[in-house]
Amino acid sequence: MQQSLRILIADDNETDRMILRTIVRKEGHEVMLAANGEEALRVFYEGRPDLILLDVLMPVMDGLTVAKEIRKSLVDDYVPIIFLTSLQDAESLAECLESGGDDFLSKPYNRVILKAKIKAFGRMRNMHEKLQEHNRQLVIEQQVAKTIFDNVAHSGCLDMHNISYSLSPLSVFNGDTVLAERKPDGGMHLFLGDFTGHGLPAAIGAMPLAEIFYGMTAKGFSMEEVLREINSKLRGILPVGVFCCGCFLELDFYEKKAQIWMGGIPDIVLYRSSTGSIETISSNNLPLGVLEAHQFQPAIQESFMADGDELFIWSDGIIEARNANEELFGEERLLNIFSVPRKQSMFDSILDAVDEFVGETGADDDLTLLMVRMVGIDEIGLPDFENKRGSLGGPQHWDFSYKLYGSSLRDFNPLPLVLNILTEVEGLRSMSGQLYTMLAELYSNGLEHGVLKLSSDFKTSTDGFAAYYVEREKRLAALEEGYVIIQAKHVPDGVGGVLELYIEDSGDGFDHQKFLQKAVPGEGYSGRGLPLIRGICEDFHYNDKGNVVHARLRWPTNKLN
Amino acid sequence: MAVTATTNGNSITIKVSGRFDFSSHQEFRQIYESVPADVTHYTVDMAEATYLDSSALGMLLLMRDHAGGDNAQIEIVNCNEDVKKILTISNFGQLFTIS
Amino acid sequence: MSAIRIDRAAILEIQEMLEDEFVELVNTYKKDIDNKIAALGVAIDATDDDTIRKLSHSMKGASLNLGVIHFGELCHRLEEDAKVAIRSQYANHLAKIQEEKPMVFAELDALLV
Repeated sequence: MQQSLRILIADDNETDRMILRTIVRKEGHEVMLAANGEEALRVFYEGRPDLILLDVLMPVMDGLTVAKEIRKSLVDDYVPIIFLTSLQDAESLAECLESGGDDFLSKPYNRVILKAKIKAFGRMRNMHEKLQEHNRQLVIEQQVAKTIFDNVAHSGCLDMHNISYSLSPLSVFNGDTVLAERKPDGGMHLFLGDFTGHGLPAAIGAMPLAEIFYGMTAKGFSMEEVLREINSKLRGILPVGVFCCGCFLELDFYEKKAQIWMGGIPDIVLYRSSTGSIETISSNNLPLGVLEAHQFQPAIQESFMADGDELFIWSDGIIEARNANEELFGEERLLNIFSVPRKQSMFDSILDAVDEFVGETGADDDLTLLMVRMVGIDEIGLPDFENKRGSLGGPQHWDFSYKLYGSSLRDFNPLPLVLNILTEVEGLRSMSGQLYTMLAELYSNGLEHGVLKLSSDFKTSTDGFAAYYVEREKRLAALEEGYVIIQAKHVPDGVGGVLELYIEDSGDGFDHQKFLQKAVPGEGYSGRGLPLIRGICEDFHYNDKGNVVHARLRWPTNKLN
Repeated sequence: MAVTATTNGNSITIKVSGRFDFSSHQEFRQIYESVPADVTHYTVDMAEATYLDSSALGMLLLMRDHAGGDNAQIEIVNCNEDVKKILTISNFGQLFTIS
Repeated sequence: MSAIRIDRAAILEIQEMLEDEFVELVNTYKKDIDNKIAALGVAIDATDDDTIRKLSHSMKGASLNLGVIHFGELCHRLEEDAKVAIRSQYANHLAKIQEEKPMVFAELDALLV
């Protein structure tokens, strides 16, 4: 059934109006009449017709002016205008369409054609209304999706003062994501991602990415482990051809080290604050979600950063920002910003430069930029993981023993798992940062000095530190024999509890006396966890041989730092 | 942007000119999907491609998947500096032979 | 050669469509034409090309829509001359229009009986 429309007929000829009115009414539509242009506008504003039949030549105000006025007043709405004309020349007819008309009907009127046109434009208006409705619906859905996304990909630790970032509010629908979270050991993970495509597909991919990033980072997993999990998840859920370019950073504020993974993202810049010089680092990995889990071999680059040095990461939005002349902002212009001395921060300088370049055309929606500065651990402190899981105390009375043999030690990191078990005890959760540092210190002592028989003498300088790690990797890769035992026991005690840790390695024991004497933090690269361990443990000792360490910790404690 | 293809025995050469981006999605897909079954060797000629974006990378991955995934033999040739840079930062050399 | 005065098929279709209102339509048309011819006389005396063009255009449109073909054609000629200001022809066109008018009106009236 054809829908009834409200149709405005504007014609200065009374006989024409009568004929048109009759034809239109007989088709079941409602008619509004106007005898000149000014009246037509008034009736239009008052009556809001669905369609307009508009005479071109009318007194007071001609039809072309009326059409222009009407088009100006309509933003989202579409009201078809059919011009009534006996004009024949192409130029006049073209002028009708240019002024905002959709079609014209020549005099004398042909009833059949008039009916068909009203029907066709009624249909078009209908479609437009549906489209508008869909659009409104889409905007609402995007807002809801955005809220859900924000809950999953909360801002993490992006508000820390050593981080600056720029991200459009609806960036998730541009495919851009910025994430940052503290690690239990005091370090930090940051991620800037750029999904191929736009809209919902990009946003959907970003959700599990954020979830994995935050979940695994807080549990103490390393950058490589988080990357592997994200890659394998994205590979599983994204269709071929959709992937996530990105840069993943792991910052160590003790060792002043940045580990950098880059896949398909523009060069990043390491800005040396002391000299004002820059180093660029280029991507050398496939984006996330391309390779199968077993093919994914993340290549990670490493840079030492002095306090105050800054890393700048961006998606291609900045490089591809265009000005009014369709020129690209480009990498060269971007890198040049760093060579000019500035009063304001480099971060603000970049945003200002892009703004200035883009000018009024202003498509800033895709400008995703992230800066993180190396600072002292004292400046940002240890992470404080609030209790988000809302468990009711968790298991209080338990013990376990976990023995890992050579080949398992080679490529498995048991610390996140162990930390997870420990932090199921609600009272220990707020200490997960310290617990992780303690576990990491004791476990790596056992593994490196005990099982791998590495001497800690290496680690007294930056060079030595690097050499130490090369040797560690080498010995670890060849490891067949040996073991590490991790035992833990928790017993409730009054309002708190007591945690006992026991770590044994298969080694001959190491010079723990020397280790224990190294009580001053920051002196050399090893042993930084010791003051912390002493701070939170009521008892802490090695056996004589030096291959077994005991630690006892009571909570609540007033010894937290 | 235009995509043309010439087949020669068991090889096909797909020539891309202008901007290689999402607008060529349909065209590019039609070409690799209609490749005869006996074609085993693919060459993508970028001599006249001025630019490619991440959707173009996606299209290359789709073609690779269509051509047999890890068993696909795809060469990307005659890349200009800009195009080469984009392929390099995405480490596409791991999946395609680039020259 | 004289053109068709009235397209019978067209006007019968309109009559059928408008039913009782057809009488009003014819009367409105006649009144409109009378008024505009009077206005045309004034405009021609004042050699107001633009008004002449608009009036003749309007008369043409109204006439053709009713199937009043020859009269519409006469109006059209005046409109065309007014567009390019061939003023010498105005009086001549008006005379022809006035000559044709009573015959058109008579044929229309005949339809109302």
